[in-house]
Amino acid sequence: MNRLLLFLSAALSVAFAESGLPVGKFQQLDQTVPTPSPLRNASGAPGTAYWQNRADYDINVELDDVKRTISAEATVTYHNASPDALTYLWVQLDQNYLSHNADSRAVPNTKRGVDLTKFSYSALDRLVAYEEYDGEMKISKLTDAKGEALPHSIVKTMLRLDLPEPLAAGANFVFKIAWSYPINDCERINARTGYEFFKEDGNCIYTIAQWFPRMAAYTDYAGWINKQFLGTGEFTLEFGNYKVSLTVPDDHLVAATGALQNADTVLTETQRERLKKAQGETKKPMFIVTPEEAKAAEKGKPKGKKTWIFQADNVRDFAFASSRKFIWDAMAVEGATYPPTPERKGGIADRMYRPPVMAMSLYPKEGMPLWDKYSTHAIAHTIQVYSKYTFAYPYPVAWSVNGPVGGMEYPMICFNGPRPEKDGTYPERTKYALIGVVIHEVGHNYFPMIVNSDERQWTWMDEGLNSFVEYLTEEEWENDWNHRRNERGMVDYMRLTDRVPVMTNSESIADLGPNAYGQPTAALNILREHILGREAFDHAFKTYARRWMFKRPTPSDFFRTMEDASGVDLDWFWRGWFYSVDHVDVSIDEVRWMQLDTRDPAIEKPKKKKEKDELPQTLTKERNYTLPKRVDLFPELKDFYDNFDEATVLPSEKKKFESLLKELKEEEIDPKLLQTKHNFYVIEMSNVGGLVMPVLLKIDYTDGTSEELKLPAEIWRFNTERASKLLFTKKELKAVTFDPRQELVDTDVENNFWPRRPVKSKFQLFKDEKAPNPMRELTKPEKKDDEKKAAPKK
Amino acid sequence: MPSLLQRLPLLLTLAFSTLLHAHSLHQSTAEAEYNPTTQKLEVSLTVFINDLELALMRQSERLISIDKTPAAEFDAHIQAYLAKTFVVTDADGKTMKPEWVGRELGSLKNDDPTVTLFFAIPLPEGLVGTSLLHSVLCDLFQDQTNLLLLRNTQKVEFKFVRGDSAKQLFSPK
Repeated sequence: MNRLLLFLSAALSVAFAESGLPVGKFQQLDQTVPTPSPLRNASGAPGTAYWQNRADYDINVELDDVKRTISAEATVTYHNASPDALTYLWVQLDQNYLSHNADSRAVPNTKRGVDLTKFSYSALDRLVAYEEYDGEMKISKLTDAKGEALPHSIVKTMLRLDLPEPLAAGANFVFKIAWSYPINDCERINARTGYEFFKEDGNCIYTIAQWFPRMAAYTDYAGWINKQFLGTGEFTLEFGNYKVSLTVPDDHLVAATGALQNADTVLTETQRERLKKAQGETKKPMFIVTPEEAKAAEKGKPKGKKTWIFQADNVRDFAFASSRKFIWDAMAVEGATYPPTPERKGGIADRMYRPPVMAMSLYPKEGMPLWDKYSTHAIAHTIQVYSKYTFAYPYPVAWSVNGPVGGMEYPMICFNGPRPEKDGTYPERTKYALIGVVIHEVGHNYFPMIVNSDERQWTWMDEGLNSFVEYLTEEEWENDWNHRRNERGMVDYMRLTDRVPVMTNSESIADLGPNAYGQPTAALNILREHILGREAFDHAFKTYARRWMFKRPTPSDFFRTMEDASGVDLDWFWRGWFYSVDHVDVSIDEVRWMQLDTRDPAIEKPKKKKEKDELPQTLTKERNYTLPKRVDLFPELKDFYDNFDEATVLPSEKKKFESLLKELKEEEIDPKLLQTKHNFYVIEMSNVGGLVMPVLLKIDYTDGTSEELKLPAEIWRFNTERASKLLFTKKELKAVTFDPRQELVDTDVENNFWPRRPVKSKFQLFKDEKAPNPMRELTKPEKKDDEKKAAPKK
Repeated sequence: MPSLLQRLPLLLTLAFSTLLHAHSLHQSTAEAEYNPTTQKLEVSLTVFINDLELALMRQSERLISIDKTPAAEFDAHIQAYLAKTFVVTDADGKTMKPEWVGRELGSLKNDDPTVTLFFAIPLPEGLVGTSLLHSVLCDLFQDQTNLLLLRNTQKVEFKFVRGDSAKQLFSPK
């Protein structure tokens, strides 16, 4: 036994000495992520000293349907909860990115548009449109609460407000601002906001966002987030309460962030009654304004104006839509109330009246028959599924509005573009485009509208997480839904050698789609299905969402929370998927087959002889066999050895075996162990792509059965380039496959198979499918000839 | 036949309805393998149907839809487009004309389905020294990325973007 121990320790020390290979992949992330602090603690939760600033708005705004302009004034109350005294405040004027001298004008954001270097008619029209339109937000007044003018400086999309005296920690500052600007024609000037003009009836749909001067965020990790808005990276904002009085033509319908305060004034009695009824309707959307009423309204002219008053608490932004063309439908979301019903039952809280959360859609007749069928249902579905994975929806309403904007999210309201063709038909993909975009945009209420991550610095924290939950939501809508564009082509993308890590700052990432949406979504799916498992993952994810609702998390808060709440060390996972440019490519290099030697010469010697005899003979030997031999001619040349059977057990060998058995008995090892009939297979793998992953294997046996095996990623712990697995089975192995269901984004499928088998290219598969089917041709003769024979003679 | 200017707003509106939300991924993937028996480079190119239709509409300046346009006409438009945007030149610099094989739709239960285009380029001299200009959809989107996996003795993944769309596939040693 001592010899055994010695052998074992020798073996181990050899193993350690050999692992000079990098184990850095499993190294803890501590040196890479920011140090925990009283603001953001080591478990990934907001610390005792966590702070965030706040901005409340009281806005009066008028939308002029004739001039197509916005004019407004606001009283802004800024709360400085930080420990720092601030000498200036930054205010975002994002609308200025459409002004004449904007940075983005030199090369308009062509992600959604057409290239201006090729002169087609549409390009010419856009060029003219850009020349004529100046979307600059004209500030007509900027004063303190008493009306004294405040010194300020405008740098394109950012306004710096110089405070008369430093704003102390914990203090408030109130200022008043008035502004106006012309609204852009979305068809010609593409943006996340604007109007759509319908030539047929002469009316507009207005979907308005980024329309007011918004406080920039002042953060603990980067100070003021005051980079210019160039149209791609989105927004970083503070929470606050909004009261907005919106004046529009009196025949317009308005949807906005928040709850309508003066329904008695702006809605008709019929509309109010229908809304009340809709509150009890959870199965089918109800019209609050019917298609017929909307068609009639389209032809009308306003007699005056109406002011709609909205109140929104704890939101980070405010958007609205207005038009006389709108059809309005509504449905109550089953299982969602405002305020949210607490999870634990009992007590006074239970007896409180909680009206349901309302899912509502606004769309012109051009949106039918698609919008009336799917939009409101998609909103309700999103709220129900997202709430299951995170927290109860904490707002009273969720709107989906059809207008010129393809898809964009704001608290409680989103703008979505897909519409049927003019003839009322639509291809299947438009249906999925609508449902998918509604799910995605309503989902954004959760990430980043409530879990308020910084979209500028880390786009993946909202887009990646939202895409991931969107995926789960679509899976629960119907079977076999194929997902959004952004996750496609991941395998091809990860095969590239010139990528940047996901954790690179968003503004400098060229491949934003794959980096912000695709890779994080793929990573989270793998984390959920194959590393943590659904239960542990869902609990950790929910913990993260609840810890950071209405707060501002950073990536390390997410990484730490997921580990803290799941109990699994995931530093290797974050490092691999978020901080490196490794990819997944595991190769099954070799499978070695061994069988145990029983050590009993009575068994082994005949076995060895049999194996030797079964070896194929050389041709030479075979031919020489029939030649006459001298020992047959002269038998006296034969001796003991000629008749000796190699399989005979010698007494010394028998004695050796008996003493081994004795030794085993003394050590209390059962000698029967030596007789085991199992096969030993050693599966040798190498990690070609570098990205450390759990190893999913499928083993096929010669008896026709197969089994799936899962080895945790820790198998790569001591050597991140090679690993092996010992398989101990009575059956005989036929084949081994890595990632049999192709779920792990492996970039080279051919080295996943052992024994190797070639994988046909897509082209070859396509050609194979097109090959003529001789059986079909021969068994079904030409029908024409039969018919000719059967036809009666005339 | 309405004049182009009259059709313009219709074209623009259509362009709208096919465009999705901000951050849309503009990427295509492709596989290419040289078949020594037929002496052709066999290519499969997967693009988003929405993007392809938009490109064909701009090219022909008329309405084109994969569901409504007759198949032969649609294929003809694709081939004309590929002739300009997927150009293989042999070692001597001669442009080789691709042969159309067919196309296959991806799953339609999808908000942004794809279509895979199959075609083969005759290269009697083999792959050595050939170059590829791959600028499919780059005329539509500034950020279009075209990935291509060349399967050979090794696998090489190429990335073509606007401004870097011509590469040598297999350099002579």
